[in-house]
Amino acid sequence: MFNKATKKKHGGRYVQGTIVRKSIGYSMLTPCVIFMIIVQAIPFFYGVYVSFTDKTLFGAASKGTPNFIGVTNYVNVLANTNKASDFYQVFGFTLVYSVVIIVCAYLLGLYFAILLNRPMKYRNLFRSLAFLPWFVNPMVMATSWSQMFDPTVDGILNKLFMALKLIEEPLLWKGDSFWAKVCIIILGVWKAYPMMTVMLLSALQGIDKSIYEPATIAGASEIQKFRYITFPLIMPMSITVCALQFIWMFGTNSYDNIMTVTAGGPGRATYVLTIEVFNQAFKRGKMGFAASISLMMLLFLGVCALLFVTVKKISARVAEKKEERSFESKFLEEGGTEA
Amino acid sequence: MKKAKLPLSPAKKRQRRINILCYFLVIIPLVFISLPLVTTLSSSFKYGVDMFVDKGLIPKNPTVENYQYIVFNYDFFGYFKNSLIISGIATFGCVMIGSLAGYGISRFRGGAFSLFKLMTYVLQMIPMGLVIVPMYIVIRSLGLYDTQLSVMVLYIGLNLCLCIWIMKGFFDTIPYDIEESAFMDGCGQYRSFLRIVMPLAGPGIACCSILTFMGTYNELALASLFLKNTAIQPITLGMQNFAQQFTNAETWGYIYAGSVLTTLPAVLVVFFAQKYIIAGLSGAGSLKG
Repeated sequence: MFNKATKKKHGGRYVQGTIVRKSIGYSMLTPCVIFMIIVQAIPFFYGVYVSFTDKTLFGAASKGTPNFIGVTNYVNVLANTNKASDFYQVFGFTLVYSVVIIVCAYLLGLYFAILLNRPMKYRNLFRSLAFLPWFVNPMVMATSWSQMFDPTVDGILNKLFMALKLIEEPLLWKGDSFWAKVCIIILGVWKAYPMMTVMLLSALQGIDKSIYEPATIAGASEIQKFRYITFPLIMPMSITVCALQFIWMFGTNSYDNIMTVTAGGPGRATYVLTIEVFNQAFKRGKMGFAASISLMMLLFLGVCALLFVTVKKISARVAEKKEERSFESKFLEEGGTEA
Repeated sequence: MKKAKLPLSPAKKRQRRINILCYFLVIIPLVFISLPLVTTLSSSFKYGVDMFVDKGLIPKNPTVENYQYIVFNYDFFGYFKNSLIISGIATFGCVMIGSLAGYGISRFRGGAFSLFKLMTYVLQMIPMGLVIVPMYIVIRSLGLYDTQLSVMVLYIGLNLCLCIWIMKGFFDTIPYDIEESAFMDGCGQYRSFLRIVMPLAGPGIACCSILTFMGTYNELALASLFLKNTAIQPITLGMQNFAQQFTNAETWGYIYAGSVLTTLPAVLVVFFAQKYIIAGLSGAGSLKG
């Protein structure tokens, strides 16, 4: 196993050959794979199986092996037979909720990342304050925002909006089906933007300052520099972080964020798919039905992920093409036409 | 830091004006963002009965009675201890297992390793709702229901992917040559990992630990599903219990005091370790590409 003479390609660098024993590598992955199998693979395949059965949590049907009923659960979900829980409406709201949050959180995150990347006094303090919401417990988030969304005249947001003459009478916030949606979206953005800021900040710090020099000499404004140099360079990170956040928000995080604040109410106004799955599985006990909803979510997320990968590949190719021309000539070319 | 008293040149004046503008652009949104937390802090020092009269930011007759009640009459530190145990063990396990696997995919090449890398991306996509139903069945059949071990195992499994990405990014930046000389002296791959590579990846470990710890500390869905016995519940559920138990006006102060104490570790982490978080994530090369 001592192949000292050969050169092995290693992570883009060539290193002198060494004790390369793959069995050690496999043994390093083993504990991780065991956990992934227990925690995700077994539940996943079991979930797929359950989605084709009539398994329930309680009652007579919960004992013994559940009956195999084919695609009945899926048909029921898609045909929307259960009038009490409109699947399409919940799905649509989950999609809107996730997309709006991702867009707002990205813009806010980018805003803070650019400003906090500048050298300034107390920068670490500002950064810490900006990152704080990421680490706030969802229960604490709910209690602390309840004062902001107080439906009386004394509520902080009501007071502010009335002082600005934006509204005539106090908003009901969590009591009104439209404003409850606005509430949870504001909270979602509040919780999601710090991660965007951190990721974009780390991307911005990775940019070599010297590439701005030609543009500075040519007299480019800050906005032009951002548009033609910074933004293309942080594009790959932006796509990754948006994709990750979208997948997490759509599939997992929406539960904690909404359950603690409105619990899906008023009525079913702020129901999202994650809450719907929990409700179907653990309140109504319809395990099979819940599993089939989740599998459709996975299918949808899979399609989204493919879309993201494609977009990322295209943007990487565009960035490559752009890099072929030097920044300087590109700037002069495009800046020249603007001037 | 000498301050020259010469008149400033126009360019410098302009620079200074931009700087001042930037302060405003940062501070004004930050005030709005931290407002809910600040009001919580101020409310935690008010008597529950005053809460609806005294709406100001600075309490008129401040009190620490809320904190006394939370700490002495309501077993706050019991919940807190549970949180520390669950999140601590989950974080330790996750970082150890995750960095071992990250080291594996950083140092070895081959079909199985690329497949593993792909799997870490695919697993992130599985919605919690899909696995939570079967997880419930698996945990019940393993006899782990209503034990802290159940959530620890689940937390380790669910946070592994992020750890692997961050640690792989870090290990990629550590040159292989450092290890090579150790191999020549007969050092094994595992020893080299523990003695040479891990100490060098300190910021990465810090970042992973912080993210995993805070993620599990704030987790709600799994904990509420698997932990029913109040003696073993973490602080998130403790807070939920407070909120359900104290519904009348006089006791709202307790909830705010509990919120402040719950958020305190997060505040400490953010203020003392934010540079590790940024450093750790900028090391996560595999997330970028």
